Amino acid sequence: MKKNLVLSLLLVLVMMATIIGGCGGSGKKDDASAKPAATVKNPPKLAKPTTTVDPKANLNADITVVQQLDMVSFDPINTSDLSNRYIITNIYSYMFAQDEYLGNVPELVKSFKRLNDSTWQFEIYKGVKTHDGKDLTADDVVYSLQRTQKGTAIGALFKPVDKISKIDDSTIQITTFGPYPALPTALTHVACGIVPKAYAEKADASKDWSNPIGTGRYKFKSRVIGDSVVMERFDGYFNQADKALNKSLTFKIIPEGSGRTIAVETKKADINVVFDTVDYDRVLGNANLQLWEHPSQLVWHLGYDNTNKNFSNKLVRQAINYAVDRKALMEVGHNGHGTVVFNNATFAPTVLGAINNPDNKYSYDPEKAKALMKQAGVSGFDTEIIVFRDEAERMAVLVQSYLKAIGINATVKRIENAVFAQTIQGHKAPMFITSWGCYWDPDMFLARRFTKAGIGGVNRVWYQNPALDVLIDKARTISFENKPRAEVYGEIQKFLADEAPEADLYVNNMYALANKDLKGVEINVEMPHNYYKLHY
Amino acid sequence: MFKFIVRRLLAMIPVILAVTFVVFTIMYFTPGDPTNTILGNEWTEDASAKLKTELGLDQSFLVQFFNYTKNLIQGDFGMSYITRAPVSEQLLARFPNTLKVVAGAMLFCVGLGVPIGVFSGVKPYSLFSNFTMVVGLLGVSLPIFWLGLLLILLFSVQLGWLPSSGIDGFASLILPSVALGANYMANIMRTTRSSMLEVIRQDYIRTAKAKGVNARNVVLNHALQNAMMPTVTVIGMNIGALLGGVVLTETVFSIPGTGRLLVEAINKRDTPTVLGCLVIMAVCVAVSNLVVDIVYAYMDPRIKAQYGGGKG
Repeated sequence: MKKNLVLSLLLVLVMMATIIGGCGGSGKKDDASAKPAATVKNPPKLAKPTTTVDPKANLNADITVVQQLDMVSFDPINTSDLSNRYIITNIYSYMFAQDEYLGNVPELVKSFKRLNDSTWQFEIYKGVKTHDGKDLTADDVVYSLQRTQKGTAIGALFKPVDKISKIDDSTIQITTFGPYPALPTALTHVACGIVPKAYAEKADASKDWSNPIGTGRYKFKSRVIGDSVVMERFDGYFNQADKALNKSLTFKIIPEGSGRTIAVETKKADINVVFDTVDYDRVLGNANLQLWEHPSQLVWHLGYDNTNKNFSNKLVRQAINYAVDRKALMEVGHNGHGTVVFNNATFAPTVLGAINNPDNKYSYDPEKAKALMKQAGVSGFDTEIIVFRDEAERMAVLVQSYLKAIGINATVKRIENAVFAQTIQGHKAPMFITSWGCYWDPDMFLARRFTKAGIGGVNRVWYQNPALDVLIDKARTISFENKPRAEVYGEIQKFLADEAPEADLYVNNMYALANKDLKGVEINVEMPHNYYKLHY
Repeated sequence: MFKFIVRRLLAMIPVILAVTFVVFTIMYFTPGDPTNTILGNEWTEDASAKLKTELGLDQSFLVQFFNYTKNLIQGDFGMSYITRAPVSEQLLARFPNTLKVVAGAMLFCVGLGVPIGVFSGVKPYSLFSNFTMVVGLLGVSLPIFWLGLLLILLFSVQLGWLPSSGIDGFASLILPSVALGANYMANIMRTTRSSMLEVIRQDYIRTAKAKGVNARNVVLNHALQNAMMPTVTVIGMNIGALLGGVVLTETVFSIPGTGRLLVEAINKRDTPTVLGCLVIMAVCVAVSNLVVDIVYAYMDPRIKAQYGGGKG
């Protein structure tokens, strides 16, 4: 009896040690990469566009890509969801594809010209084959883009578009309501995927998009809902010089971050395109893996409702910008993996005309912040910081302490992602921390981020100013050349630096974790892309 | 008995309708707009209004609920707001996976929990009994999510014996079943042990032993049947709990089942998909309760007589 009691006590001790040990291990995850890895066998590499392919390369590999969420629909006009986009863009061709910075690079378009400020003509390549062996016609392209125009997913990007029509068998014309230099970039939107007319009509009538037909580099093979999507190389792809460098692509859905890492570690997958930085140190110590990185254009920012009485005073807004230490926030938010930005117009450093720290303002200066609060005649106030993501919640706690130092008492409130938009729409987010993904062309976001057109939508800070509207319009209409436009965008950033409608903090890095032998890994400013280039 | 079963099956209809009404009402009044999810950064007031009309979200609560119920009665779960494809398509693809995991976990729970519980109840102060109690405590205490990750690290990453994700054959079911079933196995084991302890001390057991019936027969033929009544109740209740717990298991092991679908649908405010998942789960719970009641009848003649007399 006594012996049993001793053994039982021992067992309990072992159990407790296991649990405490386990909990201790999991608690380390957030600060894991704050310390250098014990053994860094493969430091992260910068993922840049692949230009050359080794003649001995294996171009017939079956590549498995793991991502977090399942796709939504093969109908391109259904949603702009990222998980969907990076699957279906392999099946459909686009007039213009997205480049590394979410700018445009011609795909189906052989050449294009502007007849005047609002009329564009695009010549489409001849001999483009669909996956069911037919020829893609100008009628197909026109029908497809008209369908995009009628749909909702493209949203504001097609608002300036008036008519889409066919000129001849290989030329289409798009007219806009006014100058719209960003049109080629707007045509890279996922909803602009070209679907042959016959298939689109059939799928729409039957409401069945489960067997997509496109003209892209891959033919759809199969899908297990919630689990995987398989596609194989389309040998009839019209641009043989830029065809797929692997035989097939399988997208595997693994929602849990460490599960995706493990899938690559155990060679069940070749690349994880939604890497969870919790595993950062661990993978750097594994010689069989390679972590790839690339700066993003995802601008993390501290926003505030400019119509709220506490934030309607420009001096208070400027004070907040001086009060926050952006570098420390980047450490807390993304373990320091990113680039600090001193901007107030949501310009990532790589977008057209971006100037980091436009008016040489807003380095961390709590004393200046206090002086500005005094100058504003505001001794302090109570407010709330709304967040809906882990990174933002961690940052909010730090922001809370910065604000406290200048007399602002903020509480942090975590809400669900699904109610964030409504919270903004109801003026219930006096302050918030979130991110914004920039296109390369600022016209595609600026005109909605800080104007009446975006109120209730992406103008989350409720900022409007007729003087800014004039500048935004000037940037759009001054020229179709980038240089003069970039100069105006510089003016806009200086204007907004003074107005301080929000405090931009940093852009985080994007990662892809791959088998060390995998070649052709590319990451754009949004996420890993161009999977057709992956090979061994 | 037949009448009892028919009566219980018919009683499921109002239960399902009540579940539908409650869930629909909760989803309707929960803050969050699916058009925000669908349109994302391209959200505009016009596009949102257009989408709401397309999805029927501009109609009143009663009209939406009436339309949904009318279709549900005809076996139509409606169209997902997010995928614009029939919900039944998603359910048909995913529900068998959930069933496999739940069945595997149930097999693990019952297959291990009952024999260990019986043995430990018969020999209450043995080393084995103490050991099983510690294991039981561990099983009840370990969160599914954490246990799942530990199992993956050990059996998939370190040893490379079993797959870490997906559902492809028997081997892929082992880790999820263990992770999901550990907690409930411990429950079943502890319940079986305590009821066995109680039964084994009854006079009729003592009488059987005094008459010279061997120990094995005493346990299997005399004690077990009576001791199993609370265990069967726990097993029945566990089916509902397993369906709840499967959400975490499916996430950790990347199994495309209804649990994961449900969570994703709630996050995106996709009401038809949420309803579809919950209706299916409610049917499962109702059917498993019915099965438990039928098992009761076979185990206890007094209950069977009650069913026969129309008192069930």
